[in-house]
Amino acid sequence: MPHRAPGSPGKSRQPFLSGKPIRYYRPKGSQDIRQLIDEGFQAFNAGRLSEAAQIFAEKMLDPASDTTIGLTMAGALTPAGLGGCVIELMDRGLVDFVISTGANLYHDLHYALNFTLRRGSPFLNDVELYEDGVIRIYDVLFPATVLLETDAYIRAFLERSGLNEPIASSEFHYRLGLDLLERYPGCEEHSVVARAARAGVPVYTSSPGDSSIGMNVAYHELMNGSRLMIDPNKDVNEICAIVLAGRKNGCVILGGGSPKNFYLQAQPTLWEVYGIPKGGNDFFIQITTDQVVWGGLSGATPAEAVSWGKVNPGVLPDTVVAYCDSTIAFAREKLKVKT
Amino acid sequence: MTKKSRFLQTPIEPFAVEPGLSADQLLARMERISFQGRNLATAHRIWQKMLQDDVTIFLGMAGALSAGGLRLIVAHLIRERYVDCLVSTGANLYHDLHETRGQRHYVGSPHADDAALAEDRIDRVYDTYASEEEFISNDNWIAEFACTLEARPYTTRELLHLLGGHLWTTTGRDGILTAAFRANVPIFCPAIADSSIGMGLSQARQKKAGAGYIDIIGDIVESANLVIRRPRTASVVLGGGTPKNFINQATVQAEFYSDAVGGHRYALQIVTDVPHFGGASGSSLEEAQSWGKLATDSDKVSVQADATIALPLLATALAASARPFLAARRKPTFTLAGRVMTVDGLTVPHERFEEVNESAV
Repeated sequence: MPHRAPGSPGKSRQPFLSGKPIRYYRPKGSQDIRQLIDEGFQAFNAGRLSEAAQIFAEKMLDPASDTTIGLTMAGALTPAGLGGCVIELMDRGLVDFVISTGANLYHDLHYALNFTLRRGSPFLNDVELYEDGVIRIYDVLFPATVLLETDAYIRAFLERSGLNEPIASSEFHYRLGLDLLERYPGCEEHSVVARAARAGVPVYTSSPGDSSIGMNVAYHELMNGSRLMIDPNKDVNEICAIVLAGRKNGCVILGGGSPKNFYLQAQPTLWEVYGIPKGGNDFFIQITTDQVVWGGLSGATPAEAVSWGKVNPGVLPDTVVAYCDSTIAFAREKLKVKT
Repeated sequence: MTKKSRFLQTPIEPFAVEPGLSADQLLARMERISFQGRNLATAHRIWQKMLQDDVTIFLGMAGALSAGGLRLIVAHLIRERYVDCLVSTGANLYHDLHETRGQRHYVGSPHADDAALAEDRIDRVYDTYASEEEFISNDNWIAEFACTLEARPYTTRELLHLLGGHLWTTTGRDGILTAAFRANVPIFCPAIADSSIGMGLSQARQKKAGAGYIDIIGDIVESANLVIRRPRTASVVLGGGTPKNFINQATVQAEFYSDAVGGHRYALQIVTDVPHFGGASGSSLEEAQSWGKLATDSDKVSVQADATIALPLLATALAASARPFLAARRKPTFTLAGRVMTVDGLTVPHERFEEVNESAV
């Protein structure tokens, strides 16, 4: 009988929060990265990513196109440190408005408030994490106090803001960003919400109740009798107006989810509801891990969107889907654009 | 908008729950729902069509299906001649042999402590466990068997037929290898070295010079000649992997030698892999058409599903719906025990393609 080494000794309890802090990475671009994307990424999803970078840099940003660009974010991108890429995009005028899940904006506030999220492992014992008061997002770890203190900040903001009526999520996020800029000077280097307020980039959320921001707005209504609410109708009309005002329309869709639909439905809202044929999106870039075969919207192709009038049927060559984790693809694509 | 579009012919029929539906009734209802549910129902229909047509049906098997409890379904498909030729990974045949020899796989957990399993010498296949010591006894058993063979090259088709025969005479138990032996259905194992069967054969070579000598290229020649003899073929692929490619390359190879070969007439795959990562396991059946692996007018369906879900449903449904077709099938008959295989009484040269073409003219 062959023998082998005995099993490893029982695991010792680890200090969970000893990993490196996660910071917003700010891509700067270089010739090397340009060469990697143009020459190294040639086939399969590397090829799609290369095409995406090309469509973005050469077509969507072409001054002759005058493209109004929407960015949609779903999946835990800010906890993974990708907020820095969004800040760079806004800084350089490469994105005109953002539609995000509430969670991405909520977790962005941790960075603004200088709380630290840390690198960890996806293979930890969650019961031990729970006992130690540590929250896990796949391989990102942080103490539960980060949630409590961020929530406390949101409630304090809600009270001092005096907001007391239905408003668009863009206005809500703008006011939130201004409050951050006033109370935490310099936080715009570490926060999408704060930077968007400074840069004048509207930020929407398609599901305002489905995040800790919404949880605290609900508390504010119940406990303080506030009349503040996020009015989705205002969002729908504002996004339609932005899309309508654009000469050409293009989008970068990260992940999919409800932000993808919220962006894409603007075109049908125009032709189907308002009777204004805008003609569909002219450019379409999506980075997703979902697949087309399960029938859901996150994985649906630009071709399927053509049938709905969401994408201009004449421009399918200017659409691309890269099947990839945004944590890999997004930073790299932005790097290319920088150069 | 008063004129009905030609695209709106068949409404989706919402699935109505009813207690006690049989699998074929279930799949009949799933033909009118969507996505992969409908694809599975289409697979049922296409397999029935294969059985009614005059085609040789290849079954490819990759992924841990034997360990995962599907081996008697595959044995049933072979015994009842839903398929005429099996192409398998070595592991599936090995884990089949493990159970046919009276040993078991056990229900486990995907979240097990692998270090603790290692201490107990338990091997894990996702959520299924098996004893490493029993595996070692299999390896020795295979090595002893291989030492009884002649010191000459064997195709995997010949070796696995003899192995199935030895397994049947020593155990008398049902399984993939024994069912194929008894039904005279050939099994090819293109990556036999990449499994514990290969490891057992390598042990045989330690014991006896020249033992465990596999003629893997002979497999290609035989599988291609099988297609040349009976050019109308169909492929059923579970999981993808090397069997998917082997079944497809047989038609490509055969096409060089016979104009009657034009790719599989039917293709059905149940895979969890997806096309957009570029690999062969997930590649679409349309892509296979560009290679001539599939006829351009073939009836085909790709089901994106775990075979542990799809196959029990599909095989149970077929057991009810396909019985009359099985009786009427004109199945190929093989002799497999010798060095030279025959199909329908005609030899399939194991070294040259030309001979068969001369006799086919």
